[in-house]
Amino acid sequence: MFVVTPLKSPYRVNWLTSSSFVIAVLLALPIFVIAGFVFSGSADVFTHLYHTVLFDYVSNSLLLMLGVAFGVLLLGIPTAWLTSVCDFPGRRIFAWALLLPLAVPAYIIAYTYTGLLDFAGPVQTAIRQLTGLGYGEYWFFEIRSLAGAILMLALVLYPYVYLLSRAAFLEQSASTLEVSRTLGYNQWQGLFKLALPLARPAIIAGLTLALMETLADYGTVQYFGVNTFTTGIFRTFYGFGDAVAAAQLAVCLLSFVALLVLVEKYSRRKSRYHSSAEFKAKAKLISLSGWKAAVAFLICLLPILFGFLIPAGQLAFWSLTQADLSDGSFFQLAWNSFYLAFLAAIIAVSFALILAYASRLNPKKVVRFSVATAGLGYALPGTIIAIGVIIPFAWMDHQLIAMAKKWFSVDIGLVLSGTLVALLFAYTVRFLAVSLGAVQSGLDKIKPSIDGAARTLGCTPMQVLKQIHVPLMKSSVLTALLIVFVDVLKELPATLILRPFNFNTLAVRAFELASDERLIDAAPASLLIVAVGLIPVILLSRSIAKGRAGS
Amino acid sequence: MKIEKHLNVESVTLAYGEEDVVHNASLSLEKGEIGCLLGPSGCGKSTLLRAIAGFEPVKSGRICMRGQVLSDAHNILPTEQRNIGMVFQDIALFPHLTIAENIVFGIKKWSKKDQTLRVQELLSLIGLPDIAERYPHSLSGGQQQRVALARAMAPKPDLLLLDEPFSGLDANLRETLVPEIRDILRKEQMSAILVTHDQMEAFAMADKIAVMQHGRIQQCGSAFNIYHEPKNRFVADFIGLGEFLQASIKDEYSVDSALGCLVGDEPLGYAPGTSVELLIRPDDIQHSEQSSLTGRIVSKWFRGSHYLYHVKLANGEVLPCITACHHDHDVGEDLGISIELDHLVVLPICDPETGVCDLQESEVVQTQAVAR
Repeated sequence: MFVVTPLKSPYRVNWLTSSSFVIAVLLALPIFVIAGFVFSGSADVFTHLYHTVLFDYVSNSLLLMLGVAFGVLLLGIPTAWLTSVCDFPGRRIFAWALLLPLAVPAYIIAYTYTGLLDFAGPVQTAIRQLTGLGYGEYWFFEIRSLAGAILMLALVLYPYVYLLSRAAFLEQSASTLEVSRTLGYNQWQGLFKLALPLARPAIIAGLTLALMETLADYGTVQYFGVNTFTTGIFRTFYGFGDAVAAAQLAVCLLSFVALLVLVEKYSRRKSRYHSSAEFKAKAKLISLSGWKAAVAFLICLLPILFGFLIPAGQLAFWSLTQADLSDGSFFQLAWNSFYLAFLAAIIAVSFALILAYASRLNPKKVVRFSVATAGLGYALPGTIIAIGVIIPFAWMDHQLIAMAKKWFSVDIGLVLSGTLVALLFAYTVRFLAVSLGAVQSGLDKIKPSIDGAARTLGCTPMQVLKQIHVPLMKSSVLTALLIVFVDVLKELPATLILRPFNFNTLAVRAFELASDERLIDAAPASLLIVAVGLIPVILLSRSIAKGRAGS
Repeated sequence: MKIEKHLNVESVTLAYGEEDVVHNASLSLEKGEIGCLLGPSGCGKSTLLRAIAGFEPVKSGRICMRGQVLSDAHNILPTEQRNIGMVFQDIALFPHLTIAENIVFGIKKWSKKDQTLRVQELLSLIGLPDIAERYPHSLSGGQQQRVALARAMAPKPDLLLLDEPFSGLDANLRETLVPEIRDILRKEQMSAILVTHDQMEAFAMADKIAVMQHGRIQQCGSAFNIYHEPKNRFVADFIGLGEFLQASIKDEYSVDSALGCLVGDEPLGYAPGTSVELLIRPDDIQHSEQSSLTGRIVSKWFRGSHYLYHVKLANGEVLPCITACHHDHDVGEDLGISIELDHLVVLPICDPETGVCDLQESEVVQTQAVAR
């Protein structure tokens, strides 16, 4: 006799669904808190800010965005087009090497170039020795300025535009471009009339990603003394000690971000129409030679040179020859960073797995809403998340302390806001979307019919999970862990605000040392961050190379 | 008392949420028989198949196999305990396992020796004896689908379900694979249900075809049956080519149309004078040089072994007509035609907009004579 199981009532609450909802509400907490301050709290400090610095923040942030936008497009699109459509010496290497600057956090490249280019740096020293001029007798580019910040951010953020527009160029079928040739356009006209307009949604998507990073940046603008929203939020929070005004500033920043998210979503919606055809003939590459090849070579070399080779080389040089590691704190810092990043990765990926499976098994409205909400954090700058975490956590801590005093007469201290709990929570909010993306793309590859096939072959749902999903999901889960790990390692502003007293990470220490003008001592920590940051970039470039293997 | 067949689907209604997608569907299958659910996409055929597999609960009615209730409104036997195999549209081989491991997946409880034997037996049955150690991605689509079939048959299931197994393959491959897979199923004496929207597949594979539309089984019968004796306008239209000719009932046995008076040998069941439609298949109309009945050719389609013409009659109605290849006429010529009707299919007039009478049954009678 067979065992018959009672039919599940559709109204029974499923634990996956409910836990995904709980996760979503939890992770949306910082946004609720920030949004709540738009309407509440005193407006005094904010009014003061409005009369004094707000205009500066807005105009600097806008100029920064404008400059970075120009920079990333200038660096990203030509390199993408050259490496995907043209053939010239070094093209294959450039195709992946152009991603390398992605591994360098903006604040690290900022102080590395400061060390190189400021008055005491090797470049200006060399100029003085060669020309015999003294201080103030010659003009030199002032790196610690708005223009410098734009340059630094553009150098490390152009890979977003490069990556997405390159994918778009590769997707464009040869026949599209060949049609334009038969209609009387030459290759260059085809580029401007066809290839670029077709790639526009992808370019805009890459641009908005780069601009979101620009808005979120704290380290670079703070180090260069450029007043933007992020530095303003910091100063209001620490200087005035006013969490409410900081949150109100965060709301202003949030509206910028929201605008970018909308633009990005819109451009993606459009881009869907383009890649419908299953089979596409690969376009014949345009062969470049002579001076054309040399120009192409230079165009692709310069971003890599200035965005990665020079700063990484400088950091390596400082680390190996001059840095002072004698106090042994370096290994403590590395250990702190690594276990923190590891814990955050485990938490974020576990949440991502719950959300991904919930939306696979019960694709109901509640679950879809939960997934969308939980992923919001990625658009939020670390500063905003930090403020949104510290306000409710500090409040809860005070309640807990009062309760503990009253009932048990013990002082438990700050269990939430003063410990790693707050930091790990903030990381999860910020990076859940990244891990969710990796996990979901892995899960999407396991078609529902594979589950069905296993069931008809006698597997219970748990056996399907063990025998089919675990082996098939292994690599995407590892990728998700790795990406979160590296992102946490590089994260600066939220860590600065939320870290427990006397707790330092590589990123925080490197930034502090650099702010104290101890650039050389900051180098080992920075170099380690860059080195670890290279791992996902290598993974990315390997998958790109694979996708192109047929060519 | 109902006779217990191998598989009985009894008045099954299926729903997604509040919406019913299959209404009151009943069908049965003998052991070793191949059945087919045929219908346009979205007609509920795949949902019904998934309910038989145990992936979808039934809202009412029940599904029984070998006298055992698999699903009813209250209980559902888990898929893995049903001993039903399934081949999926997107093939769904396990990408991390070799072909041999894929086939063994459902028979892990067998002894190692039996497993090896079964794998070899199945691989030679599907004509791919040397691929045991390869991985799915190294096979072509057709090879993958054959392996998927082998994997589903490995545990010797009581019933094999095939969910549009050929729709992902190109036409040439389909033409060779369909009879091949039918022969394999016959050889293994497998009871099977195929889901498809392609009538040629259905005709080639199935002993019994259930035509579905809007979640209802419109007609169930042999291929010959549903082609020549469609029960309603939907089946008549969906299966095969054909045109509908305006006609009116003359008396109990005969009907008047542009083709003259056609007489059946059974009562038609309509009152004299009722307006009806006649289903005319291309093979019902023959070319005949001497015939006084002619039509002007409006289109011509070379189909290899024959020509398919459409001819316009004097009253403006268009009929299909198949001629042998040597009868090569041009568009615009007049073609002499004669009527060779075996079955008189009389359908009530439908509103083409609303399709109001869609489900009303047609009257099919054997024709006896054709008179002018």
